[in-house]
Amino acid sequence: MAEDSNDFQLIKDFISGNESAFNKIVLKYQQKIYWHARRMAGNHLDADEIVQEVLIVLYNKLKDFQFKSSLYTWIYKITTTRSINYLRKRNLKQAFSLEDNETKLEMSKDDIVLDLESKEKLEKLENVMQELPLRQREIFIMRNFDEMSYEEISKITGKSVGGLKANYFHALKKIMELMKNYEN
Amino acid sequence: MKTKDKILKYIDNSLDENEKIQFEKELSNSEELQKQISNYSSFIKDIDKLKNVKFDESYFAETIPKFRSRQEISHRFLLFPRISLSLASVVSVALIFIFTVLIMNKKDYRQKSTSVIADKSVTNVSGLLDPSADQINLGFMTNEESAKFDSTLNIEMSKELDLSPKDLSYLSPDQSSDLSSLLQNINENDANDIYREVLNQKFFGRSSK
Repeated sequence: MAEDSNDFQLIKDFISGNESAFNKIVLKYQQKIYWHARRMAGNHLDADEIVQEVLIVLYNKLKDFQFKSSLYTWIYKITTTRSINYLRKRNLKQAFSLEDNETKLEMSKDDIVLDLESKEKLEKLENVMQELPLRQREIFIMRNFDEMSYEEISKITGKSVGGLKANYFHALKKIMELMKNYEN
Repeated sequence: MKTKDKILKYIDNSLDENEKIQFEKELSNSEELQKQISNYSSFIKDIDKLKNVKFDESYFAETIPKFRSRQEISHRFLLFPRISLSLASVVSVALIFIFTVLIMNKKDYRQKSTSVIADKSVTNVSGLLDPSADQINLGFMTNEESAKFDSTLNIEMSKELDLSPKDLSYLSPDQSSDLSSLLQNINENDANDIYREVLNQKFFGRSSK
């Protein structure tokens, strides 16, 4: 609640022309935006691009924010939408072979994860998650990484709790199978 | 419900109380089920560990400056087409205005010319062509114009009548007599001769002499 009122004040300051209020909002939520984008995209470079796109949307639309949800939920929703749009564009580019294997190699080189063991595990999981349909991936990330309840996910995605559960179980089963195949 | 679905719901804590009690009974009696549960649980734990990997935090210090510089570039990028569009609009409007003015002026000029010609024909030309008038009305001419008109008329007449310089001296301006006094000195026979000569020259292209 206190966090919400702080966010409210920051938004009010930003609308009244205080640019540093926007910087404060970014500093507060940038890591959450990055990691959600990264899990959706599966690599650092794409996540970096998505973060910038999210910030542009945030900057342009913050004045229209109506406090119907928390700022975090709203930012999360924007991040999810931008990630999905970005990935669709990326898939289209890949379909027309505008990205080759060298680009993928460069993507894996450029990373912010320091620990080599964690990096390997993360890459493995990221690669496996890329095999999931976008909506299942989205729910899997929200449930497992962001520890959201089905009700919270429902608010963000607009899907029913029953449908979300079914999607999540499909995703979990598929990831388990893919991980086994990946290890073998 | 399939066993796999039950396992997933159990791990996800999505079973209701009765289902949970019943599943735990099954679990205590089945080693295979316990093994499966353990696999899923360890997988979930592995994912948990990946939530908090060590990363280079300095990367996040670059997020805002990067955003601001991009914002500046996009502003500039947006400004150029805007300026171009504005300039193009202004030039188009100016061109349309100039063309409209030119067309209007041309129309106006044509109308004025027509009305001037109409006026002239009414006031001057009609006077000239008035069959009931005794003399050609040259009152609208200046002295210079009148002299020029006389000399042109003389030249044309001399050509027409094939006059010799001597004959022409009758018409020369240094003679004190004007056209009307000359005509008064011509008798009826001379006038008939002149008339016939003019007709021959004019219509048959030959001289009767």
